[in-house]
Amino acid sequence: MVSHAQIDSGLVKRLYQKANAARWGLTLDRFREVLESSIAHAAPDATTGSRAGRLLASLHLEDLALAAACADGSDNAWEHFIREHRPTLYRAADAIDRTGGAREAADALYGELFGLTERDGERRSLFRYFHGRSSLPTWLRAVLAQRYVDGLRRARRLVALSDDEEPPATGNAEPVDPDRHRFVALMRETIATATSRLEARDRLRLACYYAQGLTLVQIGRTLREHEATVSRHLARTRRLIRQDVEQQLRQKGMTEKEISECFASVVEDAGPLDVREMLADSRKKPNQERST
Amino acid sequence: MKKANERDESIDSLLKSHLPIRSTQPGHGPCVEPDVIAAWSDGNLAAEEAALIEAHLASCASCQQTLAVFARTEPASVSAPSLWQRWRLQWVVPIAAAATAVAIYVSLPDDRGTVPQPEATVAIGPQVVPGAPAAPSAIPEAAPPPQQKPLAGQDVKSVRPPRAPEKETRREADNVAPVPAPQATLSDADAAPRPAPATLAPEAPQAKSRADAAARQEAFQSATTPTEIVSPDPLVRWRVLPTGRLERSTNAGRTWEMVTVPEAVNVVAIRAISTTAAILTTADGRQFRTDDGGKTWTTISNN
Repeated sequence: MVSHAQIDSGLVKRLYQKANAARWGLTLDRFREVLESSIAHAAPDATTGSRAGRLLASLHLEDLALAAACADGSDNAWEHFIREHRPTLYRAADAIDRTGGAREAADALYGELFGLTERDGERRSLFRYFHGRSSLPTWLRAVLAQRYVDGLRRARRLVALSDDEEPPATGNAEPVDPDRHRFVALMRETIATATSRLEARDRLRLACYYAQGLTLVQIGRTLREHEATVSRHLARTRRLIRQDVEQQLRQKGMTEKEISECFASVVEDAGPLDVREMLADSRKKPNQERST
Repeated sequence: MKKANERDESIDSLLKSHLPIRSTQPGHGPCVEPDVIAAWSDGNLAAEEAALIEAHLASCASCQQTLAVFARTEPASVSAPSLWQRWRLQWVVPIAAAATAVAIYVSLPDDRGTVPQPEATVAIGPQVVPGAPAAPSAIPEAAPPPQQKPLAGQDVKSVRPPRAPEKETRREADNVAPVPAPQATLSDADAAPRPAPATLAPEAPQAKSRADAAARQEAFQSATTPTEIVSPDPLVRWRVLPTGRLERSTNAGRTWEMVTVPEAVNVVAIRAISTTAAILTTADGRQFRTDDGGKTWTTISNN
């Protein structure tokens, strides 16, 4: 039987061997602590042995042992990490920003991994927060991404006041056709409704493509789909939105001609970009900078 | 249909220009920690948990930004190849080579097998070159020009002419016992570099694979390399280009002159009897003879 409080000794031994933890000089007891910490973090409410057992079976055990050994200051483990995984960190930083803008975040992260800060006289390594639920390289990339975004938000806040003083963009000063204004407003309203009715994965795909500007390949890698599949799903989702919008407009009593004019209006000129409104959503989030 | 497509494009245009895919409702639950994003991206979460994460990511602009940066952290070159790419890398090249060989076989005139045996033997039989090893009569093997004589004991595959049909190659494999060479007066000379001699002895799988690859490569080259027919005088040679053009050389292939064939025919074989006399066989089985180096031709055999 397995629980997050106590793991069967035989299972610990098997996982210990599978993780090749002896290679880094980890003791069996230390490895047990690491496993228990992983369960406590991933499934604090795991009360059944089977759930905790499934979790243990899904862990990246070798990376978990390596991270634990690095956190404990094992020279061998660090040598291995520097040789095998540190390049991943800097490649990821360069992929985020080819001009080197993310290198600072990578350097800071590397320092945290080594444990430059001390708490109560004890060196605290960021490795303590790796629980083996993903591979170590994926985790490094995810943490780096979060740190980089946090850095951008901090920088944005510094200039937020001066930005707020600027008058909002008014777009074209030419007289606006009242019908077009109404059509655009209708389209935006119906599209918003249509997108809110989509499946979460479809909305996420749209967000990645349209809001975040990711390429099909990048979306595919993130969602574990082939880029052709991503493209096909995006086309299908656009079709769903279009059909939903048409239906909504018909329900509002619009004729086919007016519906066509609605669609045409957003192509011709849909008004000023609503970036501020979009960003407002993220500003509303209270816990933007999450500590790992 | 056209209207629907236009409207789909309108949707696309609006989404692109307005970025309206933003949260219309608060994200479900707390924002996603990076280790959870990593686990989700690695496909290491249970289905229910993954669905919850996706629901949050789909409605939380903040997490979407983190996810977008995360997606960009993977260099393009590190991306795992798709199933198709992996399949292609492993299999498409050999399959394409095999398909090419089959296409060559299929594209060759069907009636080559119906050509009377003497012509076939003459067209593809080996030239009697002093010191050259005997080769099976039914195989389009021929001794190379004098400067390319095979070594004693060299396998017949190594001296296969470039235009050897695949069918003949298979026949060769079936008939490994050499038979006495017929009396022949011409040979196909391979102008292209030849692969290393292959052995007919039992081979290791890798060696067999290499031999197969070499055979495929040879078959491919045979489709693009003109065949040289050497007369009893090695200086005088004939060749048929892939386009069907017939040429003759009197200086061992250094320069070539076009030979006018009697009419629009598809030449499949030519037999050089002497320095000036030759007999050509067409795809439809007819034969023409020249005794003046190709200046004039007379019909000697109709269908």
